[in-house]
Amino acid sequence: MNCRSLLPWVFFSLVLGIPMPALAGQAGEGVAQAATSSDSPPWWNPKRAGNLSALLLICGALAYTASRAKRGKVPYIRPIAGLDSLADAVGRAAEKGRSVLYCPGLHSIGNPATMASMSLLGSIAERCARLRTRIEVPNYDPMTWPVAQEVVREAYERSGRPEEFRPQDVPYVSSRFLAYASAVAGTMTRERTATNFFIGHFYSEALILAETGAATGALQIAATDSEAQLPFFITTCDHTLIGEELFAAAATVSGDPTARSTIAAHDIVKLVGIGFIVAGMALSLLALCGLEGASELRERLTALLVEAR
Amino acid sequence: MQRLGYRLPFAVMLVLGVFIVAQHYIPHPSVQGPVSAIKQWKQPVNAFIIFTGILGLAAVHGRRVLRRERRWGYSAITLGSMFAMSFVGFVFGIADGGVFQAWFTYLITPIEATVFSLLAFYIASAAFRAFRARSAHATVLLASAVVVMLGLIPFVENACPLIASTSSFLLEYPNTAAKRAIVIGVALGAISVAIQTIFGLDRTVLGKER
Repeated sequence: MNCRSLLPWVFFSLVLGIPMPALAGQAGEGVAQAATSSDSPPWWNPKRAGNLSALLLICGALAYTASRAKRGKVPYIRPIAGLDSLADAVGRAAEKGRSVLYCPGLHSIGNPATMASMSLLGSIAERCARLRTRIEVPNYDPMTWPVAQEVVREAYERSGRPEEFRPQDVPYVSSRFLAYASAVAGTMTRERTATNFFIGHFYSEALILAETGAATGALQIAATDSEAQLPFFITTCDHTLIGEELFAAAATVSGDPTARSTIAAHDIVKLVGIGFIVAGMALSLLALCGLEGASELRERLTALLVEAR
Repeated sequence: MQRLGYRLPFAVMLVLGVFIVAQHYIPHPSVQGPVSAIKQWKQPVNAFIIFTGILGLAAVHGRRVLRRERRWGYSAITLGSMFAMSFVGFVFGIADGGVFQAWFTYLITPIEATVFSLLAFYIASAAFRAFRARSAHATVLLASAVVVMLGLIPFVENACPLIASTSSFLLEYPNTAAKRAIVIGVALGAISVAIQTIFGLDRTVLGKER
């Protein structure tokens, strides 16, 4: 084993506290293979060149739009109906004197949809605190729960009413999704919540939650990246943020120009993607017409972009 | 010290985030070994987090029971069920044929199956609401839904191949195109959020610096 390959082990061993013997078992196999084979293990996976290029393109687009935003050139973001209705939804609950329910989805805090959900939760909780409206945030994931509690606590602090924050309004409920769905449906029915937010990643419990909310007559706003649950939310909710609108909404409510600029970065990457799709279609048509080399060029393009399995 | 308490998690997130992304492109064992170890950390971290979740659950419902708050009976049932299952699991074990497995099989599974079966009724009522021809868009949706549903019936497939082929066309082309557009948008949004979090542009998950 050379010194260079030891460096990450030493780092994780000393700085992050992983014992070396724990690594020895897993890495030992690789080392043993390396010792028995004449070729040393590769440091680079060429099959993922297209994937890396796409990542670098996204990073480049993000850096470009962020630098423009810092110079004051913040991109225009078209109005999102669901986002505009957030304020009205909380106001409606305040007028009725009833509470607001916010479901942050079923994924852990490491999921991007949950992170975006936390940004929106901060904004909604702040509005609730200003209007003195109770907000309930039942949690499915025990790792998301303390973050949600902290986000709501900070929202109450920002609105100047930290003493009105009730930790029991942001409880951990259950990590079994049907138990969670039953508990949340029960809360909607008993408390007659005026507004329900379903923002994050959901599974089949989405329809149980949204239909129960619709039956109680609550105004409902959903935002999810789960395309399988989108039809159910569109059917049962008053407003639905579809797919990337969730991330766009989170960037918009943050008020940070750099965050807003990321939406423009998405458009740059999409334009490049559309360019590749059009090129692929043109090459396919040319290959059908019998143009020499078109088929080979298309195969090369596919091999570059799509990881071989 | 407080600043360190805020910046240390960010530093850990930055180092591990970059390392986890890099390992996707570097198959060398000296990189993959630590990554496997990091993934193994998830289990004890999850166990600890679930323990804190149980403490939080007990605190919320315990307070309701002690103060006899409104509907404290539900909280009592929740606490009683949780502690009974835990007691039986710790004392008698969770092996097949034991009390714990029996309670799981004959209590929890039927209760969950009952809740899950409610979906059939919810789907019916949601479909009824969705398929009302209130506008031009809703009428198109209704017409395409009728064609797709008919196309999935074996009898119609044999009796009227045109409906079956239209149904498969709708599912394979317009439906797949729309779904892929959503998936591409979601993927870009997710990557963007991940990059912002790793590099500290979005620190919502870390809370406010005190």
